[in-house]
Order: sequence, then structure tokens, then C-alpha cells
Amino acid sequence: MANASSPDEPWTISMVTTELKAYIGRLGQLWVIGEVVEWNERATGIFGKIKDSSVEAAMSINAWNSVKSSLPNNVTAGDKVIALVRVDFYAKTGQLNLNVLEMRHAGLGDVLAKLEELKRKLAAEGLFDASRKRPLPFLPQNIGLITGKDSDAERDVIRNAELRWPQVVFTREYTPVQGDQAAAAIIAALERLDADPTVDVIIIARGGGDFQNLLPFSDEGLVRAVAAATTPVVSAIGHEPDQPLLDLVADLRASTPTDAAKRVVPDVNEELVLVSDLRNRAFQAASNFVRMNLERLEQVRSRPVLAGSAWIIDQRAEELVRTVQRGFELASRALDDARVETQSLRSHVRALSPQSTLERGYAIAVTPSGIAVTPLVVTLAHGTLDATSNGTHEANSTRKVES
Amino acid sequence: MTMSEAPDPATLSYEEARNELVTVVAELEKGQSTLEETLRLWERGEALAARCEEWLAGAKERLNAARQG
Repeated sequence: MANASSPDEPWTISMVTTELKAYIGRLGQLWVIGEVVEWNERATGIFGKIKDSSVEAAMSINAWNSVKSSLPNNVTAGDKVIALVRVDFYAKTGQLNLNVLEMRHAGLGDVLAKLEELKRKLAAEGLFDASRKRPLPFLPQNIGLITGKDSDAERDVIRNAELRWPQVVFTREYTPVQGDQAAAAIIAALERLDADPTVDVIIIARGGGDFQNLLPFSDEGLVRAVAAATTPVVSAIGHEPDQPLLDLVADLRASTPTDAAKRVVPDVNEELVLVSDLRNRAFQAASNFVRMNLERLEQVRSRPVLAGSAWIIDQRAEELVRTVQRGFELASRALDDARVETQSLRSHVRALSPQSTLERGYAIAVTPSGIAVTPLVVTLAHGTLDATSNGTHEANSTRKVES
Repeated sequence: MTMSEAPDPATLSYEEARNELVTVVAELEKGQSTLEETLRLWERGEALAARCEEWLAGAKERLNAARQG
């Protein structure tokens, strides 16, 4: 605060404007209601005039392009509006101005009431029941996208989806995303996409907007169409706080188009890593199993008996040789025994045979049937006998006996 | 899980294929199956993994797109 002004120390104009700016700055942001007198859209923004509908009071008003999306797009002179403003004091010209940050049509009160009523009715019908929510496909093969042509929403959804899965496929349906034709167009697009069997999820996306811009997304027809759709529907309308009825009936509510992309499309790289990891583990487990068995087999095979098959032959061959050997020995021994035996028998026989006795001069008396009868002196063990011979015995076998 | 009637991987969705792959790996890592079963499990795992990658690579889609001309 400059010190007090006095005739001796008068304030310069700039001091006055600075003071004014400070005072006015302290007002901060205000919600105001008024009637639009002028509403001119220029390159850098909107310039107009606003007045009280009943009392003589008017001010100039402006809105920069940056807040355009939170202004209704159909403001015309005579509209009653409610706006969030900041009072600007333009020092150079000393002009006061209302700078608009947000605006909506006044008289929305009834619109809000109607909406609340609609919400209650639809809720009562169970359109918002969790049980109706259809699960989204884990990996959508064809994503239906209903949005404004070349809108930020479109870009956000596409870009974020492609970041997560380059091969993602979209079927796009462009529709107005505000104004009274929007709802009907969106419903038609929804029905077309729902009918397409290849489309397995549908995203309805729109960037931020003021309450009134988002009204089409609370349209009863649209809500019923979404409820009736067989393909899961994702609503991605406006920013976090916005909650059109579409959010309640959709199978998934995404806070923003970007969020929708992230929740509809999984991070494919993660999935690829997971799958290849599983594949490696499968291979590892299988090859370990096989190797273990191979090792065990190897151990078994390295046992001598299996090391080579020659032993089977050799073993038997040896056996054979041994047996033959043995057979031979037995045989020769048997022969020897036989020979020995024969000799002993022979000498035995000889010993028993009369021949040697005959050769010692003795004679054998044998009757015709083999026993000789001649007058011979037969010496017996005890005593002797006189015997007569009837001549020579024409036996054919005792030639030796005669000589 | 008997292998014989297991569905042909080509008919499986991505999630079904991946989940079955997980069970196959678990089964294999237990290491109690017979040699033959182990090999069949491993082959099944390979087929499932290929199927998953097919889904992920979006090849299936390119294929359909190509067929539709």
C-alpha cells in the first residue's frame, strides 16, 4: 500500500492503477450469473458483453482459447449463463473485464434435476447393476472406437493402445461428441459396432467438456442402447470428476481416454516375456527329465554285462571248451581204466584159464557135451581116479589140447 | 490332465492357451510323469506357447485381414 495521498504527495496514475489492481486481485475467482449481450469468437479467444437481466449493470467479458473446451459451444446473445470468472483490471486503459474460466447455461438447475430423476429411474430398472457388467476380453482382437474425428480423445486412445500393443486393431466410428445430434449418432455407431462380430470391445471416448457438453452422454436412448449391447462397452468421457450416466451403464468406466487404452489393452511386452519364460521353463524341465533318465540309462548300460555282448559267446565258449576238455579227460580216463581193467581181467582170465595148467602137462577130461572121457588118471584134490578114453574127440576147438 | 482330448491350441483364446501353458509347466516341473508323458507335455507346451505368441503378434488378425482382402 503506497502511503496516503495528499495534495503535497499526490499519487501518480500508475500508482492508482496499481492500487486498483491489488484491490481487484483480492476478489479472486467468482461464480457470476448474467445474460450474454455479445459473444464474438475471435482468433485469440471470445470477446463479449454480459449484463444483469433485471438491473442496469453490464461488463465486458472474455475467454481465452485455452478454456474453450469448458465453455458451451452454442452460446448466443440472450443466453442466461453462469460463469466462473476472475476480474481483470487492464491498467493501460483502466478497463475492467470479466475473464471466464468456466461457463454453463443458466437454468441448468432443471436439467440437473431431470438428469437425477432419469438416473433414479434407470437405476430402478437395474440398468446400472454390477451383475450386468460384461467382462472385457483380455486381448481384444478388434476395438470399436466411437469418438470425434481427429479429437484429442481419439489420439490419446490410439497412441496409448499402440504403445502397449503395436498390432492392436481399431474400427473407428466418428460422431459429433456434443450438441443434440451427438446422442443419436453415437447410438447408431454403437449398434453398427455391436453388430460386427469381429469387434470384441467398444470404447466411447471424449475429451473434457463442460457439464452441458457432456449431456449427450447421459442421454436415455444412449444409456439403453449401451445396456442392450452384447459387446462390452467402455466409457471414457471427460476428466476424472465427470460422471455422465454412460459411466454408470458401461461395462467399464475409464476416467480418461488414455486410461481407457491402458485398461482395454494389456501390456503385450509383459505378456511376451511371460510366455517365453514359460516356454523356457517347459523346455528346461523336459530336457532335465530326459537328461536325468539318459544318465541313469548310461549308468545301467556301462555295467560290464551290458558293456559288450562278446562275453556271452566267450563265456559259453569257455564253458564248451571246459566241458569238451573234461569230456576228453573223462573219456581218456575211462579208456585207461578200461585198459587197466582189461589187463587185469585178462591176467585174471589167464590165471583162471586151464591153458597154463595144460601147458604144465595137466589134462582136462571133458564129456561130449564138452567133457572128455579117456582112461586117464584123474587126480582129484583127494585121491585119484582111473578113467578110459574113447579115442580122440573130433572137437574142432581144442586143437591145442591134442598137440 | 490327459493329453489326448486336450483341445487343439488353434481354437484356444489367448487366456486359455496361457493358463494351460502355466499348468503344463507346473506339471513338467513336478517331474513325476513318464518319459513319454513328459515329451508329450513339452510338445503341448510348445504348441501353446506358439499359440500365445500368435495372438500377441496379432498375426491372426493380419491373416484375417488379408483373407478379407
